[in-house]
Amino acid sequence: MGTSDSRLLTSDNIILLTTLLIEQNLLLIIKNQNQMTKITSLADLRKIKSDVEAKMSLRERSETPESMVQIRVAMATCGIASGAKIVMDYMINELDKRNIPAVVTQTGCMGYCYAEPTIEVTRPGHQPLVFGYVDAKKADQIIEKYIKNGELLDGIIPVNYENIEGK
Amino acid sequence: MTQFKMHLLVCGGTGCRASESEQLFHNLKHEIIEKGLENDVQVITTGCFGFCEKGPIVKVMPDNTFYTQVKPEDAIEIIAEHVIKGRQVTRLLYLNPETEKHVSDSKHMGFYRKQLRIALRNCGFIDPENIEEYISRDGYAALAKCLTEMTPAQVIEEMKKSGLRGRGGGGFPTGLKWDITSKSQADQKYVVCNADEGDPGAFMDRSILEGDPHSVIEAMAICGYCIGADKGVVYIRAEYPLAVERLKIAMKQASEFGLLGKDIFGTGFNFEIDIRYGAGAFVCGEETALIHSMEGLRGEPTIKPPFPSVSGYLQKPTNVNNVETFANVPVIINKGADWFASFGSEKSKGTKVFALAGKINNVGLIEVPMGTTLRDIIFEIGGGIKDGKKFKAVQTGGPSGGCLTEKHLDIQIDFDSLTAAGSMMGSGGMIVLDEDDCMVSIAKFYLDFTVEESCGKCAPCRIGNKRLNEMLEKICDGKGTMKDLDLLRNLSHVIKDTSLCGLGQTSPNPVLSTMDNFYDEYLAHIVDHKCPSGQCKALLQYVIEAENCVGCTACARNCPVNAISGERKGVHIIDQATCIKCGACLEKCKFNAVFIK
Repeated sequence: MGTSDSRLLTSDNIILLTTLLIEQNLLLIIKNQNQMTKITSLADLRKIKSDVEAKMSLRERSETPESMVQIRVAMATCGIASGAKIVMDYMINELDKRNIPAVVTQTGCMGYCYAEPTIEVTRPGHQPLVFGYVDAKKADQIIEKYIKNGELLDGIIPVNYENIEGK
Repeated sequence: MTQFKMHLLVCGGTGCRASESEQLFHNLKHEIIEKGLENDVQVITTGCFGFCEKGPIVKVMPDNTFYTQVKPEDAIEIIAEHVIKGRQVTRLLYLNPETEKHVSDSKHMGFYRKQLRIALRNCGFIDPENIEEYISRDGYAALAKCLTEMTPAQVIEEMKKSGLRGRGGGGFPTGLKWDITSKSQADQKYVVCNADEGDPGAFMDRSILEGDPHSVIEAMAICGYCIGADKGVVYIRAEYPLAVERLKIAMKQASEFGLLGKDIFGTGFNFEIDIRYGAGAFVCGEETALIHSMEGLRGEPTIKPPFPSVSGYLQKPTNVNNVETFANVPVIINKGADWFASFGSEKSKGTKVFALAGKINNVGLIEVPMGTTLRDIIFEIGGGIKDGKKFKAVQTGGPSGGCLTEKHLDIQIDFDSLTAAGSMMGSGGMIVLDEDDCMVSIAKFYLDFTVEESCGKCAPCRIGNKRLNEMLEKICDGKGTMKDLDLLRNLSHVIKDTSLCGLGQTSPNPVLSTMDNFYDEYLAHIVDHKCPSGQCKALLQYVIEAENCVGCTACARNCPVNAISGERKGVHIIDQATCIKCGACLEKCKFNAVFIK
């Protein structure tokens, strides 16, 4: 195992390397060489894990009113085709306009294809809730009713699977 | 401003609505207003809980009480006892059949949730474009563990012990494949990820790459470590642009973090990944065809042996695994082979992702332990058949699979039981059919696909499937004979026995399984010249019932080919020779005078 430098010089690999350079953009590669976050040991990996965990739990579990609402938008091809991108942009813009501190992130398919676009909303101190068939109108209701007042909307999708954590 | 203290969630899924959940919802609302609690307690309806067998379901938040089989008249007691006095209504709690104890908190209701997400663990949870979120969910910990604590042989042993079998359809033991490739001697080896996903009804590989690309990258590196390869290639169809984009972002981030490239985790192990695009040919899911396509050749299969594990990509030993197979690997390393093997059936361990589609209420992507019954998948997780229609069959395994019927609903599905029932696991597409679907047309639909997708290299597949398709077309047109049925069966077996690759060897499956399970329908088409589900246009007739026809002329005015004649206020008649069976007359008639014969 391990590629010796001489092997890198075969014609196949030169072509491979060139395409890689074009695709990834030369600048980025130069930047990457100076990366601070390079993981070189298990300890590095664990440190990143605990840092991110701390950041996320602060975001999710905090009970204080000034902590943030977290919104995940299911943005797989199917979700985007049903309008998830519009919903995500709407959420980012409207939450900003209405002065509600929130983190809106994208995620992959939640599996509820029949109800796309789907989003998951976590209010500080509450369990996450999944809303289906979200369009701009419904997104507005979610902000006004659920995010601001904790009032639920019809059609919440109950989580019907178990994840590996509890197993 | 209202701030509700309590929420009552009533299931509004089809199953629960059929058992009066709407009345229950109204009763709960009525009681709340009656008791003056409308500013404190909110009642809403939700989507399907996936537990239709015990519906209607009412969940109370924030205390997570989970009531099952609630009747409309129970509303009074729930409000009076639970909402006002804070005491759970014990008799409505779910009784765990194993412990015979009532389960009060939905957090302990896990067992009702028939789904367990291992391959999809991060899909819909993490941001796929942020490597840190993946790391926070134990991402790359498995790779670190393999590189720093285990020898390749130990990792392979762990994979073998886990019982993981290839999720692309074949079900070949993954650990064994890695073992064989690791033992091949060569100066260069390759890890290939098969992301071709040709089954038109399946989309789990796309979802995994779009939702959790790092899990595949990590597993490919682990595989590389085991077999002694420092290069990986993902073969992905170009029709998946978002999956490609997310994969590229993930690869870039992994390189930046030093998790791909040289000297990973300071162990001297090098691994890099490249992408090859496929043009979306079904046959390129077959590993030898896939490898040829990767080499820039025509996507045609070759006879095995030699297996790719001996001579594959660029004639070097190559280990090909499917996306979903790879997605399971990091969990097996992190949680252990025994943990993984504790799920599933005797010979098929772990879980399988299925893409539920067709005439089913909860169309979607699900993941269940192997050994779950079709009934649970279709009627619990899937929420049953759309519009209250009757279940007829489910096509599993895509164009290479077969139809399973009501009598198969209780088999515990895994690789072997599905094959024994005349179908196959395939990549996990599941298309549910109801009473309105014609099984001969379904078989023809899949044959259309295989005829289109056959690479043409071997005669049985190229010519045989075409002939099968023509015979099916003849039957659908009402011109079939009993001799055709014998021919269909014989030719199907010849194609299965003599085709070069998996495509031809499985393409007659839809024909054989529909003939086995729905022979009556074939007979109806041939002997009675009728299509029982009214799908085959050539075999149906639109007729006007003289008794109901009032002579309004609506049908005649809307007929695009002027096939309907008759005086105003007189009975109308459809000329069958001119009729193109578009159904416009049936749609326009307000007096139920037009019907299909």
